Amino acid sequence: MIVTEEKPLEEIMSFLSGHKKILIAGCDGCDQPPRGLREAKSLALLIEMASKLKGEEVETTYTTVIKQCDDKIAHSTLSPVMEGVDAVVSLSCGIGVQVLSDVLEDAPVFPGQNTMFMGSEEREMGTVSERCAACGNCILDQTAGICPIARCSKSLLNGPCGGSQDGKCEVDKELDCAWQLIHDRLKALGRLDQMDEIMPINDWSTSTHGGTRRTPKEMMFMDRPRRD
Amino acid sequence: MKAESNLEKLLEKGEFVVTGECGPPQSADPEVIRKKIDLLKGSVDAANITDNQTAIARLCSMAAGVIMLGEGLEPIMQMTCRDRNRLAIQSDILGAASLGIKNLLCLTGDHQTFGNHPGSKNVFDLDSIQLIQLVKVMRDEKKFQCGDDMDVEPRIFIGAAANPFGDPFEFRVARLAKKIAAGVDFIQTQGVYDIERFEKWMDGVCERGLDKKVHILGGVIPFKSLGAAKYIKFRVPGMSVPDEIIERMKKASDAKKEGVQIAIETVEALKEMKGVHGVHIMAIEWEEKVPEIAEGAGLLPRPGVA
Amino acid sequence: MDFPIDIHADDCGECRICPAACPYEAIEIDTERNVAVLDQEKCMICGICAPACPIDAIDTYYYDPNALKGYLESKMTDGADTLVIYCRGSAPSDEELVEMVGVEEFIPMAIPCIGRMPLDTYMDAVNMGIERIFVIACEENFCRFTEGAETNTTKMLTAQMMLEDIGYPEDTVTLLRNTLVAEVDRDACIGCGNCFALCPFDAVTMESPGISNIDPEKCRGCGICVPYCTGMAIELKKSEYEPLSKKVEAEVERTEPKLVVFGCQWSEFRLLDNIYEEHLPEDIGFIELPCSGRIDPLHVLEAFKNGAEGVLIVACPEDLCRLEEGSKHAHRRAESLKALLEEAGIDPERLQLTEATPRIIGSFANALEHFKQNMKELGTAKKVEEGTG
Repeated sequence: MIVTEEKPLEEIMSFLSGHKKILIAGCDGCDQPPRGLREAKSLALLIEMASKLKGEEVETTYTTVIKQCDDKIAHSTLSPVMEGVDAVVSLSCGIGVQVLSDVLEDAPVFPGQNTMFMGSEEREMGTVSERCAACGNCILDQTAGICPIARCSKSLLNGPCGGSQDGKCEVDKELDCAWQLIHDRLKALGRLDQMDEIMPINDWSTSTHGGTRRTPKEMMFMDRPRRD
Repeated sequence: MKAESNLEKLLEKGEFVVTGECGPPQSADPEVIRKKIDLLKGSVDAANITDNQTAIARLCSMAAGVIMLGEGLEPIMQMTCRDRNRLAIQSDILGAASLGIKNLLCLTGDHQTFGNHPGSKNVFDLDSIQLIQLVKVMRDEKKFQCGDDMDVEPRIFIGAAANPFGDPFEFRVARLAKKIAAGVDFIQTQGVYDIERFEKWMDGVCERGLDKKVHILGGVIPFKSLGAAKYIKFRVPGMSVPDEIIERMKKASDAKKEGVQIAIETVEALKEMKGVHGVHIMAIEWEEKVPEIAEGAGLLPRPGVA
Repeated sequence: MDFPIDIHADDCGECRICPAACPYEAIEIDTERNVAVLDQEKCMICGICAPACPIDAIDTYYYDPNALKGYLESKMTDGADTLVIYCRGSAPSDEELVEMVGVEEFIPMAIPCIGRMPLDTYMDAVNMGIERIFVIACEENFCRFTEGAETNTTKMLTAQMMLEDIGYPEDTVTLLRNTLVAEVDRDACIGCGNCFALCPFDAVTMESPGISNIDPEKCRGCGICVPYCTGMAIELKKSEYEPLSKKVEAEVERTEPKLVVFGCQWSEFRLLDNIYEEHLPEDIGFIELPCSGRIDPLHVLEAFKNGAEGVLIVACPEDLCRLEEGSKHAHRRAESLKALLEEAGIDPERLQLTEATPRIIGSFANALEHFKQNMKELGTAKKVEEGTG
């Protein structure tokens, strides 16, 4: 899921200065931690309290959208509650903010959050961590199901750099060295020879380096023109 | 001969080579480099010039290399994958070769969070193994990475680093084998203090016959003080410093002298080791000690190249 | 009395009933002295041992039979002749209560554990003129005091038999059951998995396409999941969001200075505590929670928004939490709420969390005093209600 973190209230308040009726839109999609109805209501309360303490009269409303990244769903959910609203705060990822900006013509849409990465939830550890860099060219078949592009600090493709020590990354002692994980997993699977193969220079054009990425929307599984 | 550099010629002749290291300044002052070159000249066969070492912005390694050539010392230009994409890398290699630089050390590069611009964006378009491959293809096949041809190829003697002390240990020999398969000509290792672990790694290297395919230069970093020794032991990732060495530094009445003595003993141990074809002395901001270490280990005078 | 339960060694007749009655194996017979000895560490203050003792050698600070009788006497002056005794942990809402017992006028007696009630109290009540007694207990497998509900069942049967024997109608004492658990509104659930991950009792399963399902047999009604439910889809019976929200508003409105306490029902036995009335005067708004883990950030924010000058959360010490992890979650939430309040411009010191337990006599009353004092020292708050103009 897409991992986000809330912006400090002060920053959100700075966007909203001068606005009188504010809609807070949660997102029930893949935000992690979840930012649904409860979070929208909490932020609405905080904005109202903070405004009043500053001597400003602000009205807030709140709702949540099943998924803000779908323009049709976002539009049909939000347009009926936009009466008098002069600013929207989106509690979605950066995608939701942009979709709302597209579909809500009359009010500016502000981000309530910073979008961090795509990651997994480790409930026992109480952490969420990056798992996928959306590079558009999956190599997990060669790396024992552990992605070095997302999880190695240098996105190395041919094994750990010299800074790998005791299974940890040189960048952060708390961080697992992705290549140590790959090594251990391949060893457990009896496929360590896979590490001897030189992975060729990568084609990053499928990643963010090829310009804004887009692909035909498929309505059915595999029902789309294949990429070359 | 691949590049006809001094380093290549000496190694091909079977000489035990000595390389040094020279870090460019965080300024545009060429005199700093000249001073360091002056200290190294005569004691080493060639000297590395670091490339934004520890991710700190410095005078570039290509310019420093040209200054070094002018002073009559052979440069080994370092190049990391952190700051350049494949376009910049290839253009710098062509530029360096055109200016007479013949040795290139291909490195991944320290992560930018260690340096003085931790907020910068890294590149890592290639990793060090892919960089070796790219240089080899340019030199031997006269091709750019994209497959386009070039008229005049860069004649480069290709180097890389190896860290026998990183983890997972059992992959460290395999990683060297990958670098050899990618086309590396010589290897400079991380600073050796833990002779035992280094020997174990070298045994693995010789067992696979890799010592026949590449020239390995053992890294030596003299300690300036007990504090420096402790820093390297506990703070620098991928380093192994045995407790005895720390004890020696602690007990020494003259820590600097003891540091140089340990370095001399390390060089002597490396000289005796099968498959080791030279030493790489990294006396960072302490270049004046390189002649003393080389002298102490009986490596002077340096042989010339006919 | 240092500890709320005291076994008098001088009176103890080594009958060995109390060790058998104790659900926590906190009483052992000292074979040398031939007396029962209480292990205070293990004791959970359920008090089940006291009425089990045939010679009244066990004193309890709470559940003083005379005090209970006194309470009854004071309430009977209103003419009510129906007594409803129920476990606080399973208390139905006021409307449900009326529906369950079938009469509008009755004397309510909410106590921490039904199993604790001495048989004598039922007899006394009948003697005093009570016509009908309804006892609302938790389901046996739901008792937070492990064996309280079971002990009660046995006691009820005995009471019914005894009363019938001496000629009272068979419905003089009626046993009812009620259990408070969490329920999911399947339409509002977004499948975030918070409840699934946080339930200390493994009561939650996730169903495709990501809908939470809470097993009422496993749910212990702590409510930890409720304030983590992003879709506001989980409601805990009797501690639903809306009624509590209204109560918060009413309590802020009612009190002056405007202080609100959210208290875990297990952190104090206030209705059985003699010092309570002196120390919890009417000027503090009180909202009882099934567990401090139910503390809802929204309710705290609402309290401040409505003009509260201070909010106190009373939780049990973490190692004594009757619902595993409730207290831990309350601590965590209080910390993050303080940060949020500060960002909104409210002094975070106006939100306090304190620990109290019936194990330490007076700890709850002291906590309230301390809180009042602290709030007094902070002075009048900048009121959200009024703004600064």
